[in-house]
Amino acid sequence: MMASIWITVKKEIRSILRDKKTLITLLAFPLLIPVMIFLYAYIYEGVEDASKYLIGVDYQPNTTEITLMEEANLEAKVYDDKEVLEKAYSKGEIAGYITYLEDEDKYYLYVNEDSEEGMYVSSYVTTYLEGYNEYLAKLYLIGEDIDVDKAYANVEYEIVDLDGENFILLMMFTVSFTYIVMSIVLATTNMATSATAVEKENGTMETILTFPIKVRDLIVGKYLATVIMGILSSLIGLVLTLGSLEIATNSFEVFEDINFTFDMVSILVAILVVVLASCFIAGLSIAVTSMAKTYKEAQSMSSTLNMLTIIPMFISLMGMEIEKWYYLVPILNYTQVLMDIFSGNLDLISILMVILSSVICVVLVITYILKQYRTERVLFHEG
Amino acid sequence: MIKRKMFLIGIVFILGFFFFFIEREEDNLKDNYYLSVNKDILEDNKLEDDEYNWSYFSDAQDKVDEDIDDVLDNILNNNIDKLTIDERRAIEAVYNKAINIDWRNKEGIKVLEPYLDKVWKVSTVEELVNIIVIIEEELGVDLLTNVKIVQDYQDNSKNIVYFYPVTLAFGASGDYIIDEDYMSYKAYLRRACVQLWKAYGYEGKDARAVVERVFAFYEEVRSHSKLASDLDEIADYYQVVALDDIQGILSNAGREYLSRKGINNRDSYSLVDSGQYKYLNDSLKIENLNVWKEVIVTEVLASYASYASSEYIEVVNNLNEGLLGKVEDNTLEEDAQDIVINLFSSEIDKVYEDIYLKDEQIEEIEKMFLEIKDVFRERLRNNNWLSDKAKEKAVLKLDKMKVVVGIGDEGGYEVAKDLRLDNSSLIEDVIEVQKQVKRTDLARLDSGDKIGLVQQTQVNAYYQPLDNSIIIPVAFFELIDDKANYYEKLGILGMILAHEVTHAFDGNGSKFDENGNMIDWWSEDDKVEFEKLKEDVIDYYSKLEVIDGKYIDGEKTVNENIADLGALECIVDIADNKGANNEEFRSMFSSFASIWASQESEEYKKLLLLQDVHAPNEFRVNAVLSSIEEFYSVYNIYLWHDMWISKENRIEVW
Repeated sequence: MMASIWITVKKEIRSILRDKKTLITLLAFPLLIPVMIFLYAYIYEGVEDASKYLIGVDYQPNTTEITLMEEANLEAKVYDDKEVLEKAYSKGEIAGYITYLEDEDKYYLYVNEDSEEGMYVSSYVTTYLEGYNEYLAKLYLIGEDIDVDKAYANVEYEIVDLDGENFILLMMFTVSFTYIVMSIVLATTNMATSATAVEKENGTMETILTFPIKVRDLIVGKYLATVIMGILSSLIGLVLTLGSLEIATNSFEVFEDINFTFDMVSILVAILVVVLASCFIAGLSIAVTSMAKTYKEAQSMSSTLNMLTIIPMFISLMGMEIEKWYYLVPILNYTQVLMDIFSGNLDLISILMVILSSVICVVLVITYILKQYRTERVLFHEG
Repeated sequence: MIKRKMFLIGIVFILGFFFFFIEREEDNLKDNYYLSVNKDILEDNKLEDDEYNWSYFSDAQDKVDEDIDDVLDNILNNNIDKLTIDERRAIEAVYNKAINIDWRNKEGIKVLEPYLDKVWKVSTVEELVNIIVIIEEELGVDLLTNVKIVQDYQDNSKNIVYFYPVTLAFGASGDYIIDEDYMSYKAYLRRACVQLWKAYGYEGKDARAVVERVFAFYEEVRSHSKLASDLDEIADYYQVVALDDIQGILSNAGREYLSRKGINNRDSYSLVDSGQYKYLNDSLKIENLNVWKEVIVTEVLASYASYASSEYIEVVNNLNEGLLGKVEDNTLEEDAQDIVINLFSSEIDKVYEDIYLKDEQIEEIEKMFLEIKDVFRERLRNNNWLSDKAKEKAVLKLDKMKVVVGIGDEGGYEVAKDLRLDNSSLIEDVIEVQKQVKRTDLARLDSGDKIGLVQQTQVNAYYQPLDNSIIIPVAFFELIDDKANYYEKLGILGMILAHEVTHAFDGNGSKFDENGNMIDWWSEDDKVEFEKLKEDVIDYYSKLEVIDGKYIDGEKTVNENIADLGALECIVDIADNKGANNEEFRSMFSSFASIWASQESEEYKKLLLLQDVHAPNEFRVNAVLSSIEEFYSVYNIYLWHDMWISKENRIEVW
């Protein structure tokens, strides 16, 4: 029995590996993960930098003002006078402008506060001027030999950063782990399609059934081959995800202060999860593609599975609260538990729930497949 | 077949991985040479909370300070025969007084009070001028004028009177008062003045009111004074005027003012900032008597705060902390040591030189100096922008240039031997010393004698344009490891010597001829070419960001940058001529980079950016190396490395 199963496994894997296009697709898909991570980080940092606004001024800011402006996401360009500033503003060269009247010792900010840009500029300029005001006030107190701390530290406060979700990392996890599950679906549906619908379409299924091999062994072999492809694709995706996140969190400022680490336990648990996911999704893929007569039909039917994998991403991005029963729902629970593992929220109960539901679902789906392949309708696609 | 392909791919992958990491390690060096070479030493010398600065130089200076400790101990224990008994007794007396804080607290500012009482009693302009002269001459506090006796720039065989700009309390520059970039320093200076008046006995409100008036006066003075940028060049200090001109400018001070200072019978003077002096003179009016009194008291208290009681010392410490960001509290012994070294620098220098200067050190310097001169001479002869006549003069200047290791022939002030200090307070001792200094200076007006102003206990080196000589203090040798090989020494000793040699041809040094006289030896075309090259250096450095949007002041640092660039070209040529291989070049470059290793607090970095005529140390290494051709070939620097700059942007002057 084992020999027949193993022969079937080898045959199915060899046939898929022979197809270079399928192979490239299967391997290329996980490669999208690091591309997506780095692209996102790069764009996010660019957005942060791009949010610096260029404003015009008719005075020469001193070094303190320049520093305060930079901290307030402003960059100042010096113009000769108000007239030139107005022209520059009307041409769109600057987002707003500040004039300083020495007689009044007063700054005037000219900006359209009704526009989105103007709103930000107004807020940032206020931050800069208030910061400068506070700085001058402190210098005044120092010059008068008055204790600055006593004057300013009447209310002491400290922000204590509690451990919890980090928005940026959550985004990265959600998308990356969804991609891993999607790569399992892609790999397994391809494999399952090749192992079932394509064999029926080519007529090789009937030929194989003439060999001295039990249908049960044949189906188990095809199932295992599909599982192996799923595991392979998911492991590649997992390695790429963890490696990319490790590099990205150390390379991009947007990930500053984020402490992303992983240990042997979390890796082992993650591998267990992806194996379970592969087992279940492989079974589903076989079950679905077995109903198809042709390759195209199988692809069309298995696309529903792809849609299912996106649901966890939407749930996470919409910030919906995850209930405990979620961990019992296959496909939805895999992405969530992977996120939990690598965000330091490893919960034994959740893992056990995932394992339990996966085992039950795998047994059910294998039983169903075996039952499916006892019918002539599925074997020969008649009726 | 597939297996063979997989095997080859695997080998390529492993090799690529291997070279990637090797290249990555080298890449750090090619992206920031200074940080890469100095990584370990910077890691080992991170600043503590109460420190504002560490550097390779400060490390060496710390060792020298320990040596000075030993020198002082030996002097105090009568183990030094280089000093006379009187000198030793004077040093011992002052040291013991400086360290006796209880007595200093008891004495307070008693010695200054008679002077201050006279100030408060002033009721006419004549009385005001009288007390100004007394305080200037007896207490050494510059109020109306700031007199220095220096060699005549155009005939260095004689000395003339220079009227330097008057500084503010604590010797602060007028820039602190009106330049917005110095706002925080103005605040700390103001605070120090308020604290001074509180220590003097005024209530907070009254102290602030006084300082308000004093600073208003300072602002007026400053607004009539030259800017710091107007006094960048050494030639800016040479503004010759006749006696009548000075007396005209100081008309309100009266004709006796100069004669009471003993400087009224000279043919010429140099008046650096006539605008400031005119304003100070014009302010000598009856309606300004009160503010002048307050200014005088502020200046006197500030000048003597370091020598007075604990509460005055605290004012100085608070000021330093404000200016530098973090300051380590000196012990009483360290303070006393500083006081003794400042007052008796000539005597300490004599002893220090006697103990620590070795003949072989002098020989080493002289030998390397000759090597540098040879190479520099060749570079001057091959120069492509100087006229032939100017080249001749430049070579002549180089040939006549000398190096002075240690004290040399010029004497110091040597005040200790004539002091009688047994029953005096510390402040009285200080007053007595500065009177001696003034007497010596006045005598030099007639004798033309030169005074060596370089302290032998400072880890540094100097080019003296008025003498066309390089001064190497004894402490300089603390920078050099005796066990270093030739190229390592070339990177340190050679670099610094060549730097000083190049100063002879920078914006300041080039104005002086081979005899140290300010005589123009350049043609107009030479000047135009030099200015173009100077502008290139200014542009190059002005684009370099140091911290938080603050850039190097290319104009302020131009002379030092020209010296750095010329020096490195020079030692590279020396190494080339000796047939140095890559390893030896690397040894020289890394040794050069190591002497500039330093750490600064944020406040000190900002202060340096405003005041220092040198570029920040990281740039003294990286910016200079990026302009040196050999650096590229020795380290294989390419376009994608941060140390790379395009050939047309590399700069060279000498």
